[in-house]
Amino acid sequence: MIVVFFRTILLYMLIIFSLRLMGKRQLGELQPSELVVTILISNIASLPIEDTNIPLLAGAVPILTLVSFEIIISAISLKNIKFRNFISGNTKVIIKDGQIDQAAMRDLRFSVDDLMEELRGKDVFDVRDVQVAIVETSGTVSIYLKPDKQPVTAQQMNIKTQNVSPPVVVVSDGDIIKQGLEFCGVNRKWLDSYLKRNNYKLDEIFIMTLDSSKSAYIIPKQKELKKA
Amino acid sequence: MKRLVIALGIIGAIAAIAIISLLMLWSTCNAITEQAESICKSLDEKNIDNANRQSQQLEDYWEEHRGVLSFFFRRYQISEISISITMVRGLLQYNDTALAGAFCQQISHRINEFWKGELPLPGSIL
Repeated sequence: MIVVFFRTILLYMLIIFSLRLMGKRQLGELQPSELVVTILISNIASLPIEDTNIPLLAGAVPILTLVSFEIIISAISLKNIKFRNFISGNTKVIIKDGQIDQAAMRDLRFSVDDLMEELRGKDVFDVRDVQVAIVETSGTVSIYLKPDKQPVTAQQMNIKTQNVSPPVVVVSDGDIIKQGLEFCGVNRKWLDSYLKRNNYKLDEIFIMTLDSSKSAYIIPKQKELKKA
Repeated sequence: MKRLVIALGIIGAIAAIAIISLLMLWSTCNAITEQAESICKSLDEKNIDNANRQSQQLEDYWEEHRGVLSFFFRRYQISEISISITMVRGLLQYNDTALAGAFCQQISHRINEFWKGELPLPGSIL
């Protein structure tokens, strides 16, 4: 039993390492080759956990090989467009000027229900409102609405706006988030002086956000929780 | 780029481990086959003392190497060979030379099958 326990921990760490190595793209929308790798990894990893007759290395080797080849394939795809099209496929336009391309839908084996579900998921309930709908290589549908159906922008209303980056967390549960400070173009010294000016101590802060205009928002820790 | 280098490094390391493990299996298989054949030869010559000594050597050699092999190869194949080797030793202690000889041949056969199964030949891959 203890052998299975340790094997599970080791394989868990290996899979975490493998997914991190594959990159963030893996955790979002999967390309066909990434989907294949993910399914295979989950299946292969379970074998040496269940069967102690299989050496752990025999489980680790296919996982690492799959991940490595996925990275190599991605690198080649990045350089070679023909190879990329072969591996990931092409995007396909299924709605143009509010007209559904039925041949393209048949080609993709995309049903009307699939299409309507995707449109509704993007708050579009009338096909005629769509200027262009494209099926991406990951299978998701991207939609560009007709100009008269698009939400009004500040520019169209002639409203002057400032380019301010969204607020980012710079202190989380008393810990400084270095990337957040760098994003806002400030340093630790600035943060210390800001907190001093506003009578805060670092370990008393639950969340502090900051935007590029140096506007901060601080949520202090709750006293009872702090004691506990 | 860093990920690509790591991926190529992993592929290289896997290839190196595969080759090293095959070389280890090859040398172990050769040694085991040789030792099993010499036990058979001693049994044919009715030299039981020599066969006993050789079977002890074979058991010691296998004990020394099977742990490392189990890192790379399926354990049931290794344990099948272990059983055959232990059987030869036991049978010789009870003077059952005919059966001991048969088990010696079984050891050679099993280790050869093991080796052939691990070779990257179309028969093993497909």
